[in-house]
Amino acid sequence: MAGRTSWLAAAAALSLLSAVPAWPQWLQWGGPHRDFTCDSTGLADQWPEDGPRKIWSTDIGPGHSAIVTDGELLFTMCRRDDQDAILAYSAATGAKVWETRYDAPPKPDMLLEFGCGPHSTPLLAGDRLFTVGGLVHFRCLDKKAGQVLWSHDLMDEMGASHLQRGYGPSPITYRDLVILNIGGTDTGVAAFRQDTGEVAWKSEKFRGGYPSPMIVKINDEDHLVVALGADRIGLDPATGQTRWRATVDIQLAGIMSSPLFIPPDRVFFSCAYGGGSQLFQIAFKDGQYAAEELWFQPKMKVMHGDSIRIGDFVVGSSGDFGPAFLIGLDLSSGKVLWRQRGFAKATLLYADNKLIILDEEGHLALATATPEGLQVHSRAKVLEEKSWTVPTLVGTRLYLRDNRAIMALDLGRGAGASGSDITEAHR
Amino acid sequence: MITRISIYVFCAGLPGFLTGASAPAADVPPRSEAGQTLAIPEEQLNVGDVYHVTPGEDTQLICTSDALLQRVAVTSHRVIGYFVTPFEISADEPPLVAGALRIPVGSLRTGVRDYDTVLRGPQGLNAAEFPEITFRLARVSDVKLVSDEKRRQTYTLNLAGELVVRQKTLEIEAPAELRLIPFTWQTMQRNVGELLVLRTKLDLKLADLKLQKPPQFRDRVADVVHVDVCLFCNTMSPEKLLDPQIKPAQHIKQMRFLTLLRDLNDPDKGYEFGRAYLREIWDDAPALNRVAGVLLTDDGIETRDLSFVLKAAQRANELTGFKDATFLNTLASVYGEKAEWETCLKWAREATANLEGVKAEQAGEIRAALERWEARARDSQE
Repeated sequence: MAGRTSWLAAAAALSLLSAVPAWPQWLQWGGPHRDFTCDSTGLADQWPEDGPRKIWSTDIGPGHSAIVTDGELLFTMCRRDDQDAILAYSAATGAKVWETRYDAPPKPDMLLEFGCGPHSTPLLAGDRLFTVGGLVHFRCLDKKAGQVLWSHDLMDEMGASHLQRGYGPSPITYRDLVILNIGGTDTGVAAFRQDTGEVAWKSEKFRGGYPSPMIVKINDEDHLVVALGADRIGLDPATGQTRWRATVDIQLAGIMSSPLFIPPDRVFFSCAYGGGSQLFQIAFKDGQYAAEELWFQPKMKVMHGDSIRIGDFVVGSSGDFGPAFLIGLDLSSGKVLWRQRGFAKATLLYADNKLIILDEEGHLALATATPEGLQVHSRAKVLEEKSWTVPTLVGTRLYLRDNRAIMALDLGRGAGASGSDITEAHR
Repeated sequence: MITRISIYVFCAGLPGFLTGASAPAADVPPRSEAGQTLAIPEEQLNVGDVYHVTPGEDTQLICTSDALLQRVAVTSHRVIGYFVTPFEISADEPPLVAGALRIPVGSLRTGVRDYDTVLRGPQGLNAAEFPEITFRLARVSDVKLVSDEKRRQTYTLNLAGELVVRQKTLEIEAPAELRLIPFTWQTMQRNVGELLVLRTKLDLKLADLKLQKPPQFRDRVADVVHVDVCLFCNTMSPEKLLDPQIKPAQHIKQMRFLTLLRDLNDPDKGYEFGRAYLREIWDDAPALNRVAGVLLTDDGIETRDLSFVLKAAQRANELTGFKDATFLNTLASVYGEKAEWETCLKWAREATANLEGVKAEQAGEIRAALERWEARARDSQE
């Protein structure tokens, strides 16, 4: 018996070992923790004047989907005329490995001066890749070959909303499910079986919305947190049942930025278009959850970028059509700690105690953010077209794209030296 | 002579909206490269939120001389500048901490062409030598918060600053109303961004400007000019490029062209710049069509060089093989403005014959344009 147990344990350990990624990954919107932070170390403290070392770059085509990777392959989406394209690239070389396209002609009621996306970021789960296009075509593909395993046209099947400018939120996994915003005429959020695409649950009806959902643990229970129009909602991710719901001022209905979880029980939301930032506490009383607003700060308005929590404060790029300040906000009070001009509207990553800033004009910067202020150490123009896509950091390698090109940069110390790049070192 | 007297009134009235004395004109920041905002000093950018004056749609200045025998009003829609409010407005500090304006003399209009000519000429404000009137906010006092509802705040206050007219600096002071209006779905119908509205009215004595009225027009020009100011300002710069199809460098140059031609009303410098810009975009059909389109349609342009417009429109169509309905429509419009009806209708019909792939709304506009030109051609024959 003991022998068998140890054999089983060894087999389990082996199986675990084979399941554990051999090199760093970025499988979903927001990265490993879905909050745009990662555990990378060894980032350089400064870059050369012309920016970090470029490893490769290649043309990709229009679109704003962020890049996910299992370490070997990179996945993203772009637009080819009236088709959506799902793309896989070699992380090492930037060579295209496969491309799968499908027809997705825009609808007459769409606003397309900024293109038809795709805006949503693919999701990797095991060997499956899940994607959602601007017209809410939901697909599951074999990540190695790009073969479509199952698909849904969610505008047809569930009356999903294309949100006028093209669907934007990125799906999330929960156990054997993949969950995404639907909006529109039928349901707010829906979950599908990863293996079959069968609908597992549909939530009550909510308006559609751009913020990507996230799953957090509050009061030892899982909550699927999502912002849809003027509703800030917590669902049971196993069933789709509403756990809590707060309806905010209609001026905050234009929210696009993803929520940010502040353990153990607070959720931060930020919205442009005359909105602001709010912190909610999710309280459990008398067997029920309730969302209570702790503060509202109209001066911080994150548009479609992300916010980063660093200790007791949050950093975000605040602004819509006017100037975009980088703002540090005290989490306990909601007070603006500092604001800094100098960047256009930006997306942010945080790793190795460093803030990586990419503004929409293609300037990439390395900075240190503290409650006292922001110190920019390096800054370089690396992209030429509209750069709305939040970058992806894997080890010390940064993958980024604009509306035309995709590229890999080495942010490691002594960039260019042997072994400075985790992926290459692994190989 | 009549016009000359009127001019003096206007000269006095324009400056009058803020009174004060002694700061040199250099204190007002220069225009940006595109010309629709000012190059705000770094130290002012760091103290608060910047609201840019939004030119174009509002009657920003109305200066009225209401004399015994004549009443004349001068208006401007092309005032540019900025105001800065503290990031966090508190009871301890004024809601305005900096501000500056530039008022192009070439943008001042009476509605009577001859009056305008004299008003802007050497006998008047002398636009050729002193193209702009400037104002710099020096201080704010007597601030009262009148209302604060739904984050909309209204203050009354006194503004003081330096006004420079024809290199003469005047200290001016006037009571004003300041409204801060946050961005809402309603305000978005007007402008995207946070809004600031500054209103002030004051009377200005001609004598303060040391301008002499010719005796024979004593009763046709008032000694005191009433000045009414309303400046809508926005946190979104009027230079902000929202159309992703337009290259930023082209956007800046087209705006600069318009600033010279329309705001400063300087056709010599404007078209000189325009010709150089045309050479730069000679192989870029959309950019050529944009230039032609704006020169045809912008109300503020007094000197419309149709041969220049035709050159741009013709080239845009040559580059696209006379197959682009939008560009053909522009070309038809140029000939329409020239009253060359046969050619106008030829290209307008060609435009309607090439509507495949054009959005329904735009296609409707092109069809409507053809109908308008046909009607005008008929009218001209009658």
